[in-house]
Amino acid sequence: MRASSSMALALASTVIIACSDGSTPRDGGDPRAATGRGAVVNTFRVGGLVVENVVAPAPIPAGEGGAPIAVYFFIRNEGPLADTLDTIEITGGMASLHQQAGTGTGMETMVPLAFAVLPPGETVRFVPGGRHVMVQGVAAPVTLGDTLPVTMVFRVAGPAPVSARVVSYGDLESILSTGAAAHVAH
Amino acid sequence: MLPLHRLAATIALGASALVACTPSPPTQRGGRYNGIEVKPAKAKGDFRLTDTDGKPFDFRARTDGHVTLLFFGYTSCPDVCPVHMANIAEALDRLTAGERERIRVIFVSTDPDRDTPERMRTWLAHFDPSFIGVRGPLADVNRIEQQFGLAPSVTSPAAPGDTAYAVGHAAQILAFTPDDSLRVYYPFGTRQQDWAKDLPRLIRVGSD
Repeated sequence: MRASSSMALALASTVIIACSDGSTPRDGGDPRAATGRGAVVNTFRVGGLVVENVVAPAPIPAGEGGAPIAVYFFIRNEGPLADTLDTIEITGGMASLHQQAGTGTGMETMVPLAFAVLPPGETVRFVPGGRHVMVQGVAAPVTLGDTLPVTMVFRVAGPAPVSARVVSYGDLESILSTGAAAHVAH
Repeated sequence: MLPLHRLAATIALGASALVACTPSPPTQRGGRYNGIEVKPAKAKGDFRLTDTDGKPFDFRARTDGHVTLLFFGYTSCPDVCPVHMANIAEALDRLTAGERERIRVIFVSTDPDRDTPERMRTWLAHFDPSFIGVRGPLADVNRIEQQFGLAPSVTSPAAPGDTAYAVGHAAQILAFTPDDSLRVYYPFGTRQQDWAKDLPRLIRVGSD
């Protein structure tokens, strides 16, 4: 599975290069690095890792079949060594790491992410339009205000239980502009 | 459920078909809008699809004289599409009723196989009951996207019956002004406050 994911990433990267037209880099000058400030929704410490603002927007009602659930968060590595986030586990659902990949033409597609490197001293953001977790197959209703138990599996720090606050899509912007957003790992 | 490795292959292979990119929208920010202004503004153009009531949808006729926000997306999208729609809905709530009446939001499905009219209606109503969903054969939708300078969408179920596939699609929202001109491309990342500032400005185009 890792090999397939890597191949997909490599192919997608080829497309990005081929179609680049010099548009603004995804993290540079990105309006998502918003300036609003507010309270951090939640914080979890896992060894030298600080995980905060773990949120899952309530899925939009769409009738039969539902819609996948996204999970967003920041991970700040305050330890001396790098770690990686390898998988996310959510009871009753199949979670996978993804990266939105643009082609320079504004074309967006989701590319599976085999893992996310967490360099020491840096913050890695899982935010809309960038890295995110997609959860499919959750049968139980997920509604505003719920708390979803989530396990983040780190290569060094190991499995870590955290929880995701269920929020509205409209509130994501203000929530994800707080806390560790000030320091973006590219 | 589509296995992840098949999903990856589907997305990657689909994306590889886009190497010969379509004409790019403008990419320079700055100026009077919080998006990427089209200079000079282009004529609105037209297309015909079907709305969620099953009635013919004539883009020009249904949006004539209104600020029109046009987006190509799909309801199974967990990230870009609902965030865009939610941010616009939040911004619309900050406008006066009079301003609100002068704006139309059109959502064109890039996933017509899964996006039934009922599903689109339910999904869009969650954000704002006034949002208009339209759909049609993907080939037609892709031609419309290209007509507006966007890349065509990639919808590639690996096999009949696969329901857990992703769709690559343009992430910009196109903004047309009441003078029926394509005026601004808003990339993903446009904030609620950007919309709240720009929508009244767009309404005034042609009346200043």
